[in-house]
Amino acid sequence: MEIKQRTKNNVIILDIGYELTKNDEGQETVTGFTELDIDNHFIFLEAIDALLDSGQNNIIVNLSNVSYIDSSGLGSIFDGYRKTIAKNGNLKLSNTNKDVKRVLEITKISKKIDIFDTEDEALQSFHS
Amino acid sequence: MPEKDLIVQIVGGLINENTSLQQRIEQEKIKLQQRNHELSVLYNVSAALSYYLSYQEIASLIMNSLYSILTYDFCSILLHDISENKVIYLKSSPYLHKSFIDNVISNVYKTAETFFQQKIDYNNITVNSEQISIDEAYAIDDISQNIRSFINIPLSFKGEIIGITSLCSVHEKAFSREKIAFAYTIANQMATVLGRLSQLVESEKKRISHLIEHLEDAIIILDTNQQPLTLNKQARALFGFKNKSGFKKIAKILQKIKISHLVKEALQNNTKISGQEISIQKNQEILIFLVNIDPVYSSGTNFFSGIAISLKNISYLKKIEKEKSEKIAIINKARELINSIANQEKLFSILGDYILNVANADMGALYLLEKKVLCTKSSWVLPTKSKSRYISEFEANFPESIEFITMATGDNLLKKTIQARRTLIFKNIPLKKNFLLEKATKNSQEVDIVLKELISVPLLSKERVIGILTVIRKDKPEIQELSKDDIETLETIASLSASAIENAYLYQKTLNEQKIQQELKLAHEIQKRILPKKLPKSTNFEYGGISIPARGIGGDYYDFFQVNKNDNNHIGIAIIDVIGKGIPAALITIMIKSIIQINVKGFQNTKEVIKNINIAVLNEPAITKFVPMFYCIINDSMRELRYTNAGHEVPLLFVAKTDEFLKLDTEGFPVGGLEDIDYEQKSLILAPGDILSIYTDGIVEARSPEGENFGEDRLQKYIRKYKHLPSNKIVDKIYTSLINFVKDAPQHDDITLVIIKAKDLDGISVRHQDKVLWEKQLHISSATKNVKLVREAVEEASKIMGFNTSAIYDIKLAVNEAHANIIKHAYGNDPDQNIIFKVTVFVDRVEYYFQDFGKTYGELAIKQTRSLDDFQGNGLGVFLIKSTMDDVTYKIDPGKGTELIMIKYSEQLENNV
Repeated sequence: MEIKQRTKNNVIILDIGYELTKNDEGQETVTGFTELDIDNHFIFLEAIDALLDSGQNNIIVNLSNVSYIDSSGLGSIFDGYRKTIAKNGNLKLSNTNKDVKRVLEITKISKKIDIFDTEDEALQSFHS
Repeated sequence: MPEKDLIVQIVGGLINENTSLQQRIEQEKIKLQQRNHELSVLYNVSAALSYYLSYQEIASLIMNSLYSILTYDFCSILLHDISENKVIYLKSSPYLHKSFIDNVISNVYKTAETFFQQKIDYNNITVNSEQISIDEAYAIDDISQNIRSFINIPLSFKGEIIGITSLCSVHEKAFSREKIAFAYTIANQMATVLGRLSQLVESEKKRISHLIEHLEDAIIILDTNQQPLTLNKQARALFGFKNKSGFKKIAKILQKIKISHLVKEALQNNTKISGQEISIQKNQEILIFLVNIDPVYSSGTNFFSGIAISLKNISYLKKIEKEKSEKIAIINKARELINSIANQEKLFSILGDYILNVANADMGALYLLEKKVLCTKSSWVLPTKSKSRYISEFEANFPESIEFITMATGDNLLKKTIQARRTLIFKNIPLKKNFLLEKATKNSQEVDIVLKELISVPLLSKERVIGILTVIRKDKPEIQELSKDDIETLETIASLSASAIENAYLYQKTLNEQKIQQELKLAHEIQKRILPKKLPKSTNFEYGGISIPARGIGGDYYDFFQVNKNDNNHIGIAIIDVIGKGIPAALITIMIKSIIQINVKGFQNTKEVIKNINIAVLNEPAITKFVPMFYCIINDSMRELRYTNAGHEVPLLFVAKTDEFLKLDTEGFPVGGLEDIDYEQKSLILAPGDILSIYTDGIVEARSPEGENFGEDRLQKYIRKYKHLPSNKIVDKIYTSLINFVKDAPQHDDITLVIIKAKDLDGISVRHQDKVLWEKQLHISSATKNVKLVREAVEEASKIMGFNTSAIYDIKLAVNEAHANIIKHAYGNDPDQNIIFKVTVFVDRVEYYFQDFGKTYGELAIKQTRSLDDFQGNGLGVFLIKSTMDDVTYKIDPGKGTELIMIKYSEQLENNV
């Protein structure tokens, strides 16, 4: 699992995917599907901690390339959200697939964390 | 010598004269001393007299004073008119003979008779004598002891003679003129004092007798001979004396009222007696008196002259005391009653009898507020002694009629009682036919009943109205109104009841909880014994069954039987539904179980079996209810079903070929109901896929919280839906669906369901469903990276089975969570331990298998509650496993470690629900 960090309108966007590849313009992007589980969830949490330590606390987690999340993965997302809120920031999710979204709803995480279909909607919510 | 003689004569005469002068001077000197002595005595006497108040003290003082001057041998003071009894005080020399004294006294009396000009009754004179002390007394030489000197001095006061003072001596001329003059002076002084004193005593006596006469207590004054002197007004009234003539009866009366012995005692010992209680019947009423007896002394004397008996009427006090103690007794009894009876219903009924008795009432009712609704808890009606033909509408509708009583103000009586929070009392009130309480109406036709009294007491517990006690007294000729005291007693009982009801309620609640706990425990034990321990072995059929009693144990029962010994081909299936719930139903169930066991053996005909059971149940006196029963026999090899229904819920047969349901009913009546009843046997052949559902009404009558029945249609729907599953799974699924349907509504009846499913034709060889289509086994370490590996195997198997993507996601999650539990809990995140994972695909299901060798953890983790909010920890994992998998089994084997087997059947059932 790889995490790539972007900034758009003062909001940090975390792209999570299988690997890092360079696109035609030479920029690094994440590609391929990954699964956020008991084996790798701490990587995600470390990335969030690093952002919060550097004072950046408006975060969108782009889950378009995450095909599966287990309870450990869900736990790390929720922990990240709590830490961000504690720093007066916010953490939102975008581009979840239908099964991931379903699990987020079953666990009622969706009642706490805002989930958006697209990145733009998530961005707008930060500036409204 | 005449001159010389003359001189001698003169000198001699002078000397003589001088000597006599000397003597005279001496004499005068003595006289003067005597005077002085007399004067000092007089002074002392008058000083003393001014503060002496008793005749005796005065007499004694005077006699002493006289003695100091006159040195008499005998002195007496006879008082005539100033004392109630005539009295004589004597002071005499100790040397006098008795005959002398008697002689003198009789002389005094004779003198007195001439003074007072009347006869004196010697017997009626009190004699009070003292003696001159030996030291002071002069010896009397004269043996003959004749009276030689005697003085009688009359005592006069305001021109009236009140007594005589007499002095006498055995010596002649014992009293000089001067001394007699002194005696007169002192006697006069005494007379004045005595006279004044007697006037004082007289007025005091009048005052006292007036007081006595008008005392509220009855006073009887008796003399020492028990002769009545005085009876005051109260005493005369008490004993019915109109004049003094009745006084003679007093001795009899004293005897009758049982105080003769007290009177005697008081008179003999001259003592005071107090605090005795006696009862006297007067005008058919028993009066209670407090008796006090006091000694009486003659006025102005210390003479004991009789006794005063006072009778204080304490009947009223006694009555109050009696009422108070009765009231206390009543309340104590009520408290005892209330405390001794834990059973509320019994308490109410006994309390009711008691309250009716205490209040002398005819009807009563007790209401309790339960969840703000007033409920009639108990009502009591005194059986009428007189066989009155007329019964009022009010009585006919009692106790409901109380609820409809409307007061003249338009308020409802009971509601008003709750609002008012105090006792409401209505007296002599006609109740109209519409239960309207009104002020007296002239139109008697409208009046249904006249109530003597209607008392509505709120039951207050901790300032809160918890109910109402209403008591009604009908109008009867002999009835008296309840006193304030009676009402207070009623209120006290009501308040005692209120707290007792609260206590009983709490006690009952605890008791019920304990009872339920115990019953459940016992039930569990019995239930285990009643229900079949294992399903029948069969080639062509699958069996499944469940029985869930409503209260831990119930009247539902199903069983499988081997019809013939050593014959596995014929299986008998019985289901019964004993009316009732709980232990009583269960006991009957146990009896019927044994009856059935005896009667199924050897019989191939279900009709015969039911017929025999019918007779056996009829002959069992302990079973008083009829029992709906269904009995069938399956011939396994022939796939034949024979059945007889004895009034039981009609079983359903799902016919696979036509996708329709048949009802398997026959003519008949529940067993134990009627003798000589004909039953019927029917039979049919079960084709592969056919599903027989035998169930009790608890299934179709189970209710949702909205009050909707589960119903037969819903049952059919679920049988159809789960028809592909093995029988035991169909049972589980239907039961789960039913639980989801009723939600948290309480189960009100036992639930029993038996499912028998006919297998496919090739079931004879290998079980179709047990064919392994695909299998993968992984021996992996407990490192977290292997979780993904297992997930991939799961995905592969799930795809073979044809599960949809969401289902695959859920299965992956469930297996993932089970795997994570092993890593975390069995191995405490140690990555170097062994885990075996196996996934097997069958025709109808996929089995996921984990084996670990770590700490036993599973049961705990699996059993955790499915809290969606708490997804941290294992909560979510457990929830996902339970909701995704159709079956989860968990085995702990010391040699093999811990095994977890999860099964998912081939259709996505959850999507359909």
